Amino acid sequence: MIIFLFIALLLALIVIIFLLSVLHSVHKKLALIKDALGDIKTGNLNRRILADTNDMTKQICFDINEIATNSQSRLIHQKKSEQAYKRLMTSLSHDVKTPLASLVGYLEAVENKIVTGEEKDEYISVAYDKANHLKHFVEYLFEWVKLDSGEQIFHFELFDLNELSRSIIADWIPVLENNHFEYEFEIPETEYLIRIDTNAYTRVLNNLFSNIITHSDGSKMSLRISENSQRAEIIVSDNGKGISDDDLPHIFERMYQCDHSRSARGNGLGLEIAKKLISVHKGTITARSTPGVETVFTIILPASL
Amino acid sequence: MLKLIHTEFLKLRRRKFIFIMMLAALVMPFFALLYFRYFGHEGIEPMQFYRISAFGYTLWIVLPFILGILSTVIMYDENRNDMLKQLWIVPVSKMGYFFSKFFIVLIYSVCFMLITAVFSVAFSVLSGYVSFDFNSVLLLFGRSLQTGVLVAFAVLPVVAAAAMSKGYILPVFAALIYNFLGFFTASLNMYLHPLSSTAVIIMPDTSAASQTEPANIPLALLCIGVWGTASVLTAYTALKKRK
Amino acid sequence: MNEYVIETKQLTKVYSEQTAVNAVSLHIKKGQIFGLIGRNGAGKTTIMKMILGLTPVTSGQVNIFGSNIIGQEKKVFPRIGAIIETPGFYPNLTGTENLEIFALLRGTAAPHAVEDALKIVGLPYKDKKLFCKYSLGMKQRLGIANAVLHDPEILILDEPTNGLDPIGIAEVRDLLKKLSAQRGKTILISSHILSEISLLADDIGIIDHGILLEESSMSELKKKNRRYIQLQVSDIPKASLILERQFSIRDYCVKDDHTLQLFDTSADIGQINKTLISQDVTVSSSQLCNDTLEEYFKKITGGEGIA
Repeated sequence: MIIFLFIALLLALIVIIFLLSVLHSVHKKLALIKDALGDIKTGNLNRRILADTNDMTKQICFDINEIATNSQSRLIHQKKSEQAYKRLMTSLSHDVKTPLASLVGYLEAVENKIVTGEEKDEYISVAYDKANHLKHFVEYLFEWVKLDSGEQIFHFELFDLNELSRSIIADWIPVLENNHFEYEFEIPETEYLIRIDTNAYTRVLNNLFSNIITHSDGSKMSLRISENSQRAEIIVSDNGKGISDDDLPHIFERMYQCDHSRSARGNGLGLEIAKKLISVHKGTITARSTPGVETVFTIILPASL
Repeated sequence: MLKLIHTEFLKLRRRKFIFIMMLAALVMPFFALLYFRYFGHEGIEPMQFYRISAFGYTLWIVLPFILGILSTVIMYDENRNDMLKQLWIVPVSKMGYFFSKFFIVLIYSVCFMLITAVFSVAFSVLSGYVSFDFNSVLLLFGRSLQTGVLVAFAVLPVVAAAAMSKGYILPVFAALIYNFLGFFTASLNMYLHPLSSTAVIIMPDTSAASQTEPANIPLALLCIGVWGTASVLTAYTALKKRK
Repeated sequence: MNEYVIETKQLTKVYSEQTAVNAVSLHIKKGQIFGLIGRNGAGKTTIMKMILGLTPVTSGQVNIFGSNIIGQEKKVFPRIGAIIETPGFYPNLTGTENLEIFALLRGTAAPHAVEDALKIVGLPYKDKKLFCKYSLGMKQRLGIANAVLHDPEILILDEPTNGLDPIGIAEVRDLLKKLSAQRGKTILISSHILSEISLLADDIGIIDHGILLEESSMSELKKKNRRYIQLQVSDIPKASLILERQFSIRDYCVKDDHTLQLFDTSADIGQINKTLISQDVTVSSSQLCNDTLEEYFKKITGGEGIA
């Protein structure tokens, strides 16, 4: 009899101890949650509350984390557009001031009659080129800002990539011939349907082509497209002066470089825009270069979008 | 603590060696079978068979040594794979780490003894030398459980040695020396060494030798307790220092 | 609240005779990437180990989230993810199983944390491949996945790109940039490769022989990495016209109303000055800045350079 009583007592004791320990752990967990909430309230949106799979506060913790994560990403998005604005200002002051200054320099010389005759005409034509360059740059700049702040709206539609590429190239052939470029195109005859924003894709190819014509100093260029069920690969290459190993990692991120030295003005922006447009299509664009021999840009677009 | 023990079990996945070691549980029941077959006895007292198959050498040599190797393996591998740093920054407490390892040793020890018991019964009954006797089987299982738990505590010093050293040679030697020490000091005084103290506790039913003195169970428990506490403390300070 | 997420005060580590880390005071701001740079054996790993309490501090103090970490490990460590030296894992388990162990130990911040962490570093979820069959690159990735598994506020990464190929290094760099820019993480990263850190870090600390030689922001340092000729002139348009027509210099930049920078440092400054002045452009100053980061590091480390 006594032994049963003893066992019952022991069991009761074990249950009590177990319940107390549960109470204790819940208490600790609540203190942790309170602490973390205080932290989140004062603006530390990075704070997370960790929970195990068999924790009864799991759902509460995960929900708090989700709220914090969401408001943090909103905040970061907001900060990003602020930064885009700042970069726009920096770029305006750096990349617009310089060509503008020299433009004014040329026009002043003409205006003050320092140059005359043939030299004057040459000055005017240089000034005209510079003004045009500036115009293009400003266009690029606004496009970039629109993309960077996420204000650009895209229209994805099913298109035949091969046909689209051919029609873009058709516009470029006279330009290439005028600039004495040898060209080579390899585009499959078959139809390859892909969800794509035609304007964006056209912009990407245009930017690559105009880069080759204005900056590569080469004499040959080619475009090859190959496709399989997963992805399309578009390879644009030239035999120009190329890109040095030091510069290669940065060619797609001109605007992010604080250091506006060297060829920063304008040229890089086209590539950065191309990269942004391609990444909107969930694709990638990469570059490799052997200076003086070959520079290759490879665009990969996933088939399913 | 439960989480720690749970992860310890997860870590044992695909560790065949540890399960193969369990086969050592078959060795003594098999030898017992051979032994009695050699003498060709019939109708042996069940306890007589079990004494050889489950207690005797299993308690003194086989189980402690297997547990020594087990604790070395689970600690050494973690150390070699550079896991400790990652665990400390979780953070896992030093004591939690040591006890979760010890818990594995404890479970392993109990499983080992249960397997020994099952096979003792199987070999003895199936071979026909021993008739099945419910009471003695119950006693066998009871004592096996007791042995499993007590030996796990008795090898705490070896587990501590494994936790303290980075290599595997030292703890394996420590396990060997510890075992033999237990064997030799037993003739001097049963209450000096945890292993002989374990033998004292389970002796009343399992020893053939006529008792020279009545078993002093509290003293034996005290011996195991003192050795255990001392080794836990040593391991703790060593882990604290080493990190 | 203190604005520094991690702060070390006169942190010192002495091994028997040798001083491995000597009175290092680091200040790591919230949301920044702090690059700790120095040669192998300069004391970077020891500093990180002391921050994480993996090795006892001889003297000095480590503050994380504004308070001393001693005794606060249980509160603070769950908010940190780290890789120290090469990350170790259980070779008999798959990557997913390894992460599940840590998810169980720490708890997670969201359901499917293991799957998400593997996705971030580009490893397959529930793959059958055992860790012992992993390549070095995959091991490093798994290390990073483990560090971000619980969505911590701080990442402490000791040479996370060690043993990766150039593509892998670029991927890790992009990942860290993303974690910092899109998720606001504070990152302390060490490296012995200057170029790698300079692409990534907001702030930088230079360690040599256990001593913190310099702690400053990257943009501050980049100012020292300029090679240009700076001219202060009265009339910018006129000056730029002269540069273009008479010196065929196109690689220049207008900084403000009176400052021009030429990036071709081989240009003849004397001749330019003379020509400008002869055509009524006053030159109030002209100077050559010809420092590179590498040279700068050589200077402050006493001639040996960083990497």
